[in-house]
Amino acid sequence: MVLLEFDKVSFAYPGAGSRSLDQVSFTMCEGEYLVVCGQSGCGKTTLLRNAKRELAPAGAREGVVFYRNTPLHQLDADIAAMEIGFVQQIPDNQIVTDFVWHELAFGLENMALPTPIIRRRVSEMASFFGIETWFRKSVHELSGGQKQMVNLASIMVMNPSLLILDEPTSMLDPIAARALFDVIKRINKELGVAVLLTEHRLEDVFPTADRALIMQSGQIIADSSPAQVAKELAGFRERQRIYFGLPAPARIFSELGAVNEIPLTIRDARTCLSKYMQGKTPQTSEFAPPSDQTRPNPVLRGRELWFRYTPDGADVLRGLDLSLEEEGILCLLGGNGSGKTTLLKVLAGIVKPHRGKVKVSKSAKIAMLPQHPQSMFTRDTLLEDLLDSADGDRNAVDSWAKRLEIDEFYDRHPFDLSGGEIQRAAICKLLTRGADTLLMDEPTKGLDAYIKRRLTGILRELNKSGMALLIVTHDLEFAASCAKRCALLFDGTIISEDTPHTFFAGNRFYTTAANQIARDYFPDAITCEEVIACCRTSFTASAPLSRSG
Amino acid sequence: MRRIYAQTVHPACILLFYIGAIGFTLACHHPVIVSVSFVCACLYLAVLGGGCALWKSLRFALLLMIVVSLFNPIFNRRGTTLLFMLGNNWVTLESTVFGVVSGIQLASIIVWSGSYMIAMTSDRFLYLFGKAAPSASLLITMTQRFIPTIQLQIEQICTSQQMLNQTPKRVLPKMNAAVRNISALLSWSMENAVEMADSMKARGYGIRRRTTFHLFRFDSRDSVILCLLLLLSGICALARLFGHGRMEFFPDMTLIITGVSGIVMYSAFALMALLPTFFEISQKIKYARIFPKGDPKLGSVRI
Repeated sequence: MVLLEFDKVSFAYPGAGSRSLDQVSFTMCEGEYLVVCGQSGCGKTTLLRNAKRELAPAGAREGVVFYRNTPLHQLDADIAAMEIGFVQQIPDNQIVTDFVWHELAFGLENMALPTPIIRRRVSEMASFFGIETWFRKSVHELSGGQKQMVNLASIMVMNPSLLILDEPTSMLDPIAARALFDVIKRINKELGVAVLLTEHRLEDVFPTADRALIMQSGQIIADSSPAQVAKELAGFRERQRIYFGLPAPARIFSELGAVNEIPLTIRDARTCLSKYMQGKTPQTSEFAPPSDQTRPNPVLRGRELWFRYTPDGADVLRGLDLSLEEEGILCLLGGNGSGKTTLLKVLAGIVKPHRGKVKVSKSAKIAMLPQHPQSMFTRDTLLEDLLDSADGDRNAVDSWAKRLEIDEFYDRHPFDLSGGEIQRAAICKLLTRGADTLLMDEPTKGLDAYIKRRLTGILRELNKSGMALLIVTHDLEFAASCAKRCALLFDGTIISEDTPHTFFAGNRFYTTAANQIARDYFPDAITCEEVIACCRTSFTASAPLSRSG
Repeated sequence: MRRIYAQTVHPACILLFYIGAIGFTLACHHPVIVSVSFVCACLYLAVLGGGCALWKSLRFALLLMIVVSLFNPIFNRRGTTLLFMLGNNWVTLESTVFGVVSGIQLASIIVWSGSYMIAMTSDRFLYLFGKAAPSASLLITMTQRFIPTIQLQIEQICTSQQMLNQTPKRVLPKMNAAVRNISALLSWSMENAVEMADSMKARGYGIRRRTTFHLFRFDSRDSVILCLLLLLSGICALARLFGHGRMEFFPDMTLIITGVSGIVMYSAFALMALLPTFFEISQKIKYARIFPKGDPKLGSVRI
């Protein structure tokens, strides 16, 4: 049965030269899981907002959106509010009240339901989401992931038939993002709620989605199963930058082109690879550079750092040693709450360690990318802000802004930018500052895979010209392709530190998807490109070579 | 965190208790009542908030008490029993006692409100008055969320600017930067408010008059407490109607205690004022018996 139908919907924002949606038609069935992808600015958010009456943007609209065969604008107010749920990007801004339990009840209070019914629905949802333990907490005590979980739960108590999510994980780290996707998957599979979702992180969504829509400048250019879409995307790789956001299994095998059905999960990819490698000798690769090196002087060095936030609280840092060398790129990995952000604050001198010392080399000019990119902007337009930080050097601003693709937003107010855009703007502002040591807290948050690759290139280049980088990240793929050294932070200390290849090859679970897939054949290959290269060389150097040896 | 058992009692009982305690303290300008009230208020605050909270509240209360008890006899020349002359002014016994009683009365109200703040958290208050004014109560709830958020944001803005090495050293540019930070904070909050409004609309805010959800239950223990409170305050109210719990100071002081019914009233008031302290301590003892070794989590040493 058809749940949602877009019938030739076009939409243009007032004053905009072009249409944000152009003759968009698609249907969505009850209980279907639909993911909409496309680069930023392609009209995904506009599409989603047009499906929720209360949030439909103002502007010129043509065509009709049907919900269960009723035009959206004729729907009963109760049905429109309760049956269509909408989750936005920024977790903090959607929370209205001060306690978790109250937030869960907010929508039902609006519906003027009596307390016993609200109590029942709220407790049902709290146990479905596993939030009983923090049910009575104040929302300020929650992490970003927990906040987004509360937002999702507070919509689910309304018992919707359609759940719309607009890049719900763009402010979350990958682990919290995965937890959220797991819950969305459960909502879809166990409760039969239809899901309409936009997302950059396709590797988490593609395996579970029923259908994928690809949008480009306001039009839908592809609409079929995720595996099929992956295949199509691989076909015209040059034009489609979201190709890089495909899950590692899909990218490796669409490139190798050796399979009929493109795998979307690591398990399937491992099966495919073993078939592919049948009768071939794996080529032992040498990606890891010789790890001899007299280590250069450290720019930034922390020795036996101890830190806690409250007098009786647990120690966040426990005797941590760390040094960032000149011309080094050190990626700090670790789970949520392992103290990564705290460590950055200590190293940057924002807070003082309770024991131990931070030494900064005298010539170092340190700048830091904070956890919340919004806090970096104080002017009325993006351009003013960037010029401010570049001390008026327009050329520097232009060149960085072009490379990060934010020059089109020059006249916008920084806070009008979306999650990924403001993150890019923040990175741009940081780069124009001209520091020689950068501390970055989750630089890839909300960025699509294509921009991420570009960022990797930029950081590598800056590093070659002498910049030292300390990057805190959850993004293993990014760390694998960007870092010179990787360190794992656990329980307040650094557990292991090594070059990326040795680091990831040595880990069994905490490693990249590409490495998970290929580790039986090429234990050293940690990025998709490396795995593909290995597979190709194995192909050419198969049977005859091994016999002659 | 100190565990507060008063918070396990239904908010209506707490409210009724404070109406009774503060109400009778105000209505009975009588040395016995105000002294009992003061002692009980101190006891209860000490039990709820510990010595620290008591001292904080007492500092202010005692200062006020001293000021009132000193100033009344200086400026109030009524009364017949001369104590001494201050310049050309009579300082009388009656006006001194009147001042002391007024001082204690004020002080006990201050100390009571100290414990009220601990026992009656904002969500309890909102629950009681939310039904009458749902929008106002939502507004208060949102404000309570807003203030800490703003504090966090201004902190983030300041550190971010500091880490961009953009904090100027001279005074004028420094002030400029501060103004810019504040304006950034304002536009950031404004932007957030727009999204919050969206989130409220999306969940059907404004379709009809809202209800207010709560997690409180009125159980059998609450009804026992309520009955006790009603009984004791009923006795006090009745006695007050018959003229007990009031004293004439001028021109001559009357007897402090008048007959059996007076004694009954004072003991009823004392019982009522001691009720929450008694409740709190009995709960503490109960749980100390159930967990004789204390909280295992707190006992272990963190290394």
